[in-house]
Amino acid sequence: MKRDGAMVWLGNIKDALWSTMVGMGITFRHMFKKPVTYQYPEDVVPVATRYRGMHFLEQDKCIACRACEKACPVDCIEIRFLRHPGSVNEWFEFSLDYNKCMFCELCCSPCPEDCIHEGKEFGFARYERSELVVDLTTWKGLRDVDHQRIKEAEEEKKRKAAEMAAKKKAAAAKKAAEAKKTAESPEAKSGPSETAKPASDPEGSKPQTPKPKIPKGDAKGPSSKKTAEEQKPQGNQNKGKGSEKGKTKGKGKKRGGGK
Amino acid sequence: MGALENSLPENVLTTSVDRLVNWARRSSVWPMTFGLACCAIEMMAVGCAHYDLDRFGAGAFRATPRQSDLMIVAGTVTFKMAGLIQRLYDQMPDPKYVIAMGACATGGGPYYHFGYHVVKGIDRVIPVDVYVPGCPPRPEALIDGIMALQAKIDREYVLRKKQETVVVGGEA
Amino acid sequence: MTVLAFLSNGTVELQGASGATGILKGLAAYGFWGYLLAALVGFALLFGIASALPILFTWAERRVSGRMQQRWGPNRVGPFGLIQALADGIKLMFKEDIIPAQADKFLFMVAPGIVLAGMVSAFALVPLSDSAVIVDTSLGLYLIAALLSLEVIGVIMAGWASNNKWSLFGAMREAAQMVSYEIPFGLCILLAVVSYGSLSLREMSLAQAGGFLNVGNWLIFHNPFFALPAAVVFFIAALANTKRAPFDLPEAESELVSGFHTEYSGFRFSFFFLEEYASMFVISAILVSMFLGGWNLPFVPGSAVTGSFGGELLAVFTMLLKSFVLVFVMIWIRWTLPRIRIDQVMSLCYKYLTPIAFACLIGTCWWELAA
Repeated sequence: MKRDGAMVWLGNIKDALWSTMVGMGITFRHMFKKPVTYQYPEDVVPVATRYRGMHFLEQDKCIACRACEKACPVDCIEIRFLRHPGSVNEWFEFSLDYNKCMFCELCCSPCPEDCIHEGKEFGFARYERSELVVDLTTWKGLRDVDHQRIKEAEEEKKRKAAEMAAKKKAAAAKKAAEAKKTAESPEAKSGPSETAKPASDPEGSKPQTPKPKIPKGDAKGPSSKKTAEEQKPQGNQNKGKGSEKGKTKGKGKKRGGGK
Repeated sequence: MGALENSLPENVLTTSVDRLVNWARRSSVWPMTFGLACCAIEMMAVGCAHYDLDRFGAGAFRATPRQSDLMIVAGTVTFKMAGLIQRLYDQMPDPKYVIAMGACATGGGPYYHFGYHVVKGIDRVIPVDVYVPGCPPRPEALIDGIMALQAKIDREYVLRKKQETVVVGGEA
Repeated sequence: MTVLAFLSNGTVELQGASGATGILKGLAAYGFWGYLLAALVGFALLFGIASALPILFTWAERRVSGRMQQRWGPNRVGPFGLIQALADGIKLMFKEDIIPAQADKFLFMVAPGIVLAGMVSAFALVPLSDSAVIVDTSLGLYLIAALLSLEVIGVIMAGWASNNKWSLFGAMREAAQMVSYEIPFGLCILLAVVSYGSLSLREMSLAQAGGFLNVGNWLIFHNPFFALPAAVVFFIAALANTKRAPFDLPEAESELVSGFHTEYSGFRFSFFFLEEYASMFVISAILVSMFLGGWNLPFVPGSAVTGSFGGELLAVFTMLLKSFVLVFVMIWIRWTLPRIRIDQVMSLCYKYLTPIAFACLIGTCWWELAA
């Protein structure tokens, strides 16, 4: 409806009162809604799954290739280490300057060992600017403990290598024995009592291995199975190592969190 | 406090007054309405409903430096802006506090190497109390910074003589 | 401030002789020193009320604004953040007090005092009950209108003395706004005066007792066609007079840094702060006394007991409650409406409020003649 003259005036008054009342109604209704506030220090605010926060380093995995240092667009990573060929690297510094870092996560993707990560922590207020340069290494220089650790690590490595060698030997010996056995068995069992090849396990079928020609293939079955079984405990060992690494990972996370 | 400030010995009265004043100061840290770049967006988020800086009594953003206690340097400080920031800081009445928010304000940030136009850290211009890194920091990180500032205010000397103490920093 | 209270006591003839007024008058009988003591006691009482209420109101403002924006508001300082405003006050007291080098130092120092003095003196004239009134004069409303206008002088002094263009702009806006809104403000006061035949707020409250459900004699119900719009006009004009949003142009942050108090820091700023919140209460109390039945409790006939202590207490409670509701509405409006432009403020005053107020005044004259 077109307004003119005094109607404009009255219409303006009506509009003003009406719109004010609508607005006040909205604010009044909001007064009784539950606040959406996260009371931060008590309430934990959920962060996105791919949130990029403070870094943490899995130092045991790190091979000090400097890929992250090179990838960093703002050059905030500084790595100083001493390489001991055939041994653990001697770390002096893996520092991250949060004065420069912009949490782009470009340092994480080129890592060949996947050992530098960006975590979910963010709270990091400091009173001094120098405190913002964070060393991500767990070893700071080499102390006696560190030498001990390197020595132990080397011994461990040697021991493991020896173990591996021994196991290999044993495995080889076993294999040879198996091969011998399987080579012998078909001769012993080959004969008239041939039955249909059962679908049961090869161990069970062993006594009734059929034709003399086939047994070779059959013999491979159990032997290969055995090698797999041999490898199994080794795999477990690996897993154990992995869990150890997990522990150090946790440690690294704590540091990276900077709390 | 004028002449009385930091001139009295430590006794029951002065410590009580100091505690009261420090409590008042930490409970109403009024920031200045002042943002420079993208960090200012996070600073605004801190004032809004989800994070609500007003819970700490610090939500009254004052428009004029004369009435504000805290300057949150939120964003990239260019050389052109640095002089103005210094002037605004000079215009604030004592006691005044500064939070450097974000990588750019704390140390130049991504512009550290090739930013021909960026001040490499606002602490080259004005004294900074709390550094909050991040690019930009999450609003919670800024709240952390303000809580760290409150902890710092709690340790201040108002009437008492200043003691030679080693400040153990770092704990937010 | 004391001087003003003293003057108002001295120049205006005191009417009532009961309650606080009676005590003060009794003291005054002991000559000059008694008079001075009476003035000092009155001032201390007034200043206490005038600074206690703003503490409550600032807390209410921040909590209400928080809830309206679905957040909590201050809740760390004391239970529910109740002593938040106290912390603010102490902090402001202990802040550095800056006087700009280029400022007019005398005016700069005096201006906040004048602003606050007008407001604290206006407190003396607000009747909370029949006897809980510090100064009850036959010219109460007139004096209140005059004291409220005194604020403009302080604001202009502050704006001028700061030697800051934003301050001056803010002060000019304040002057333009206040002078304009004095017209509908005064016309609505005139309407109440025509209705009651008195300028005393106390007598107005007394006249509104009784009637249907104890609300029938309230001016807005007694004279609904003219007094009700007049009450709305008075409320809008009061918002403009107290510089509350949406009329907070003198301190518009987006345009003038902080308006006339841009250069003020520390406790001098807190004077302006106190004044704003104290004037909210004074204006609400005037509105309640004139249009909303004063201290008469609605729906309880015969509750307007005067003389007995319990009745007086109930009256004070009712008056405070009604005023607080209006203060809440002021806060509510502030967090609902955006700030309007200066030309809109002016056109609202001259094109809408003033004609409506005139029409209501003429209609009330006719209504009173007919009744």
